[in-house]
Amino acid sequence: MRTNLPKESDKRGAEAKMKCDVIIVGVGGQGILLTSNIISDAALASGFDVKKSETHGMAQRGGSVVTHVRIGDNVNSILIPKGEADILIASEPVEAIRYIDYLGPNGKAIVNSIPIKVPGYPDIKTVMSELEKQGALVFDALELAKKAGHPLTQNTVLVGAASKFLPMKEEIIKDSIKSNVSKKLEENLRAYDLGRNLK
Amino acid sequence: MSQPKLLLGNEAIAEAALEAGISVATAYPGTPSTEILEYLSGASKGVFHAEWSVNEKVALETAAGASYGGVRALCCMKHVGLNVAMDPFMTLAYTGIKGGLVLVVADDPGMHSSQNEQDSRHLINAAHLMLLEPSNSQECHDMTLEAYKLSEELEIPMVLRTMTRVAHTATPVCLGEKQPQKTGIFQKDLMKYVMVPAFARERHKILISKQHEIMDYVEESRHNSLEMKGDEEIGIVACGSAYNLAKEFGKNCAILKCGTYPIPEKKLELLASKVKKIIVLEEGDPIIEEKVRCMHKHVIGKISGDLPLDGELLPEIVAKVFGKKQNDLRKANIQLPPRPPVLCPGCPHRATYHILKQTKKDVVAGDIGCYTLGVQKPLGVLDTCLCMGASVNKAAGLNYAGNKHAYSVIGESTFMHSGITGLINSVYNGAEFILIIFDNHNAAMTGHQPTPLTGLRADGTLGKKIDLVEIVKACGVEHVKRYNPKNLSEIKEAIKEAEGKTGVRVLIADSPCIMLRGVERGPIHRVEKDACIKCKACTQIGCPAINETPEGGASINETLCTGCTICAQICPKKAIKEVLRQK
Repeated sequence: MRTNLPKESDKRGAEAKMKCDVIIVGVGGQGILLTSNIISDAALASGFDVKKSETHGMAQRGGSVVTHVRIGDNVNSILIPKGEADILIASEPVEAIRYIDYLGPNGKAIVNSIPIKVPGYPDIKTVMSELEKQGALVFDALELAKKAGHPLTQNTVLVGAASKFLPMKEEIIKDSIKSNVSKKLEENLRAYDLGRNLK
Repeated sequence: MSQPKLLLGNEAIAEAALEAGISVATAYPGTPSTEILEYLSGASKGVFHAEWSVNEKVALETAAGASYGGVRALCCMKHVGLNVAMDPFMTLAYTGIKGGLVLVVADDPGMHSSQNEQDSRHLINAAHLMLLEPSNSQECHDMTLEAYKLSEELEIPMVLRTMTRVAHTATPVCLGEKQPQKTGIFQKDLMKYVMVPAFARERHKILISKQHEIMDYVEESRHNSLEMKGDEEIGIVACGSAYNLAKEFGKNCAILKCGTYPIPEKKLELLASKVKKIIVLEEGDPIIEEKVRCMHKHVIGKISGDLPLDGELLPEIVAKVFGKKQNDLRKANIQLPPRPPVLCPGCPHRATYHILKQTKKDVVAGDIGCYTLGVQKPLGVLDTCLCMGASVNKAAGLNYAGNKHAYSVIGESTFMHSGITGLINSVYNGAEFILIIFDNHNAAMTGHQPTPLTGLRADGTLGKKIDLVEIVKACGVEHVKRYNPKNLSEIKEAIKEAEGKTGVRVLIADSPCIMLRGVERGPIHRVEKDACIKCKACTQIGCPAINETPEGGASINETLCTGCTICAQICPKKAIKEVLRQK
């Protein structure tokens, strides 16, 4: 797939092959598609090859949903093989654990701490200690979203937190936020910054 | 050349259809094909005719009519939808077409949202036609355009076979220029269009002779390619979407990329003559693998037992076949609860299922739609789900088998699709059961598409609104009653009244889907802790907004509650009260 933009691989030379596999998980209705769109649009705009695979149909009905966003010089398989994701972004903590086997040994999990409970939901302390064991960055994205000005900017907070690990420049990610949010742009950009500046 | 855009496979197909200058687009909603017509209907007003047809047979026949009329048409459906459209499909192969006709059939390996994972290639083979199968969105686009060209050159309907991973994955696409629409004119040709036996026999001979043209195309098509140096030990035959897996794992392998079905035999022979081992990667049934096994002694695939015969080709599974070692996977030592899709908070189906659960009955025959989720605990009401429109007929059959208290539940969209014929049949042939039609004013599960019962069309215009009660009466039903499914007493009354009658009785649960735009939500409700006696009755209706508290009582998630009041009506102590809605 040839694009008009300079290919990142041309700059890098034949040896190094860039790849960044991002698995995005959550509960249907939380808006993980927005998170996926922001990241994949930014990747395309940066000249990378991108494949973004979505869960449709069942998503509104509160079910477990997952999106695979594969970024690289040359992306082949549509799905990320288990154990090879570089980043796991979760808008719900149990979903982060459900898909933890996708995350590679050196991968980073970025997790919203607010649970959406279903019958049989484990004790939240157990969930948090498991995430800590996995080296996850866990925080209350909803609180930061409210701080940014609107609870619905939760997804942009998560993008901000993940941005340090993504291969795209911040300006390009912010442009992607602008073109993907239909309202509350200022709040969303604030949310991105709050996520980015997390300790 | 335009800048690439990230488009879903379905969006790319829609864009290509626009570029091809289609005049008619028909479809029945079905995951993973639904987005194509949704995308097109936005662009259609005043330009071309885009419609949600009542079922796939109707959709294909309508598209065929347009094609006979000399214009380009598109018809989209999911794989089981093709089963419904097989009657016109098989004989369309004989008549052929005039204006290009492209049929998009979307398979669902792994059954992400389907009742089976049948392989559509068998059906295209049965019709002696061919298909193109894209592996990414650019191919979805390019192959759709190619399909129109081919359809008109060969005068046959062309099939584009997609699947979930291609239809619902976005990859970069460069779009092209729009071509003008053809002007339609129907040219009389009895021997082509009227399939009485005398003419059909001639058309079959013509179809047979077209097979040579099809194979000539397949051998030359740029959508099939042999990537081979000549010294490779392993060759891969990769069909459609599986090509991505071949490129992921098949370094240093020769690859025969198959974007058509049938596949190019000469290229396959060449590959087989050079390599020591062939790995066949294809979603669905081992159709190509069977062919390859006739040409080579050492074939790895599904028949050989190296890959599973069911489910989709997941990368971890394919990696093993290439001897790739998997990283040690992270493990979590917690028991996680399943999180399947459930009926939304405020869904109008919920209360009817709750009452039905307590009603004396032998069996509840179910059908396909959001209401199929009624099979899940704690509601656990449905006993069967087979295919669209079957619930009515299954109930009749179960009744003839001795079940005096049989129920059938069906959505109004499913009923319009293929329930009407079953209802007429049941009344005429003397079945005894109660049919509940869930009329929530849309086809919800597939994304809230309109139906003839609202009159709203795909392009947003208002057509004729068709009356459901009139249809039911016209089927010969004597007892038909609408009821409000958000009022427990009304549900109980309606069921009690119907149980006192005989024959096929129809109840219509009439209340809009809570997710529809413009549908008013009630006030948020809250459980009064002091009044709650911890009976847990409200947690037994499967509402995702209601959770058990650590103390054994119940609490309502106020961000999810839509104020349907069902829990409040159920609570024996009236402990669930409305609170002021917070902004």
